[in-house]
Amino acid sequence: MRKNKGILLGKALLIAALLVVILSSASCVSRTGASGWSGSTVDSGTVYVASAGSLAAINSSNGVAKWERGLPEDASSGGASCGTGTASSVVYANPVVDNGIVYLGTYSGKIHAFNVDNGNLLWTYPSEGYVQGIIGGLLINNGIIYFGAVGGVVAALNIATQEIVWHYDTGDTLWALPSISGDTLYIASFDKKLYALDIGNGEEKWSEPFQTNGPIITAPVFSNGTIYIGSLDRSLYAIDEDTGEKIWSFSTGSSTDNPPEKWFWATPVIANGYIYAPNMDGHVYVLDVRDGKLVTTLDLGNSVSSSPILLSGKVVVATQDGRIYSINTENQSSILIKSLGMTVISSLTGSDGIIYIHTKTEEKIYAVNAESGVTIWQYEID
Amino acid sequence: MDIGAIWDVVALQPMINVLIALSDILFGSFGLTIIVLTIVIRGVMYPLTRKQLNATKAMQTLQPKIAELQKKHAKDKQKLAAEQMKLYKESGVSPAGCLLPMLVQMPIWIALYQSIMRVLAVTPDSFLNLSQYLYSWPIVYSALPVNDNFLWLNLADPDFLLAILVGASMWVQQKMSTTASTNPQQKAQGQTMLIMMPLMFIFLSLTFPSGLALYWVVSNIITIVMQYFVTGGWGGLSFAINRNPSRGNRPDKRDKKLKERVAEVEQVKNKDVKALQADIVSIDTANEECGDESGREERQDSRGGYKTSFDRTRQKPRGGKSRRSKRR
Repeated sequence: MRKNKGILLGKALLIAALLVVILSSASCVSRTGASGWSGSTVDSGTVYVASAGSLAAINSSNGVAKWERGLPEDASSGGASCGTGTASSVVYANPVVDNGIVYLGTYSGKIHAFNVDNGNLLWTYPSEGYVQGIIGGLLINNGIIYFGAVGGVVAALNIATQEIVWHYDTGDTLWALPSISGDTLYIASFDKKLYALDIGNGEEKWSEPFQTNGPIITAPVFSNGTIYIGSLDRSLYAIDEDTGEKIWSFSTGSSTDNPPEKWFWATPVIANGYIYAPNMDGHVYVLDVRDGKLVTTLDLGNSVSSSPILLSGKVVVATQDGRIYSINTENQSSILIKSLGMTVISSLTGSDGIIYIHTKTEEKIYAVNAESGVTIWQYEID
Repeated sequence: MDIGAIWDVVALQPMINVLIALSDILFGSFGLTIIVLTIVIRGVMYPLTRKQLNATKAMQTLQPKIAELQKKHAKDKQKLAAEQMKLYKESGVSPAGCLLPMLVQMPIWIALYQSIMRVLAVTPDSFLNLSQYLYSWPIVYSALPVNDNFLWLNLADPDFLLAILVGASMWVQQKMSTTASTNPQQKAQGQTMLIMMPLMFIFLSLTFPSGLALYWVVSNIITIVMQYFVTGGWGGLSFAINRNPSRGNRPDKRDKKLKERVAEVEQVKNKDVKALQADIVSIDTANEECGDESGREERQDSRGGYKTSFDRTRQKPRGGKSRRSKRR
């Protein structure tokens, strides 16, 4: 009888375990967890790149690591919970270098400062506890770190004192990287608005924030007093820097044969009077910055979420499936220069004719010649 | 196209887009959307659910006979199987009737809760991933991201109270569909599952976003209501309540009423018999005094008069019994 009971209990446990596996495979596991998509930064011949749990400094000419440091253990806000994702040491933001220090904002809500020479941790803000998760990244200007936190707060942190100078609560999720033009900080929010704040005190500068029809997660770019920003409402907007008034917009409603069908996730690039705006529908829309007229549409054949760069007079774009295209800014023709065959989501970085691509698959960073497409070196981050 | 891609196109994409669009219509409340869509889907699948519940009920009614067969053919498994099949055939019950409708509904349930998870997009990675499922409907793009605040809940985070509700509703639902098995092995297995399943779902609810737990609670409540109306009562749950040791052996309302009725009948019967006996004595005395035959008729009349009363005492229990039979 006791043996029978044991068998029955075993059977019940087996059924229960099976059910857990089925449920988990159907949702938790197949749902992508928080793994991060940090890009890289190039400064003084060194490429700094972060992955889940570590930060590496790599010699840009030969791909040899100068140092690699594990990120301080973060007690995750989400714990091991499948639902909230593991926030521990996950990094979405690019590292930023300023004055001999490399700064990194993490998804768990910490800002770490490392010595550029040896990777030693100098300080962490806050030393205890957490600010809200940082996804967009850090912007440094005159000794102040500006950042937007997931919970909706835009904050200015004094590097010298490691104290918050001011903060502004947008009231909604913030994923975007802020941008500065003059003495104004621009930051977009999930609440579908673009805010213009005084960099000195965080006060709003426009009578009201600029409103779109979808969340905005990209940083704005500037040209001749105009802000250009893409939104998840499938529109690209040109806004007056001073007044926050719309100048033009390009969207699904625009009279074109090939309107944008998906999100403007990547930050656009401006070159030679044209704006190059990649879309997740696999196209790069080239528009005249003055009136938003569509000049041409380049079909890259795969979704683009990685922000492009302007390198040696060419716009370099990476598709999610790892194909790297170079667009001639004179005639808007594109050529495929490299196919990595790996997922690319993080923004590209470039310097001296070399493109640095951090792939999501295998956590590798590739240095690729922007002209020939030849891989100069690759480095796998631990 | 692999099976995963087919699943995405056929099941996930439509469900995800409907969820997002519906949340925009329902005042931007994703919690309300989960509730409404769960009710709609369960409503659409009601014919299948009813079939399944009826088949389960039919199986339950056969349990005593099956137990008898098991007892009778305990040593001959082949014979037992053959007899069981014969019984199913004779009773017009198909064991697959319980399973098949459930299997048909399963992909829809899975699609619904996978969609809920994807639309909630609790991490940046999952939000980015969501883009590949979106149709080009303008409403979908303006509705995102969905509002994950509902009542006291943040639907993207697990919630303890909701997890308890998931476990409790699952226990009730399971208990309603259980039968008092005479087979100790089946009984033990049923008991283990009855506890294990709610516990497991409590654990899962504490692990997944509460949006999913909300779906489970709503789905369980709908199943409880359907079970109540289709199978005509609380099933195994009422059995459990009646046998609940904390309530002792307190008879249920119906038993109490029956006992009261029987006592009343007995009382009336005794009273009528005494009255009858007294009447007979007085009539006999009168007849003896008058000495004619009319007294017999009168007695008959008197008996006829008493007949009504007396018959009532005899009919009442029958009438009561017949009404009870009808109720059953």
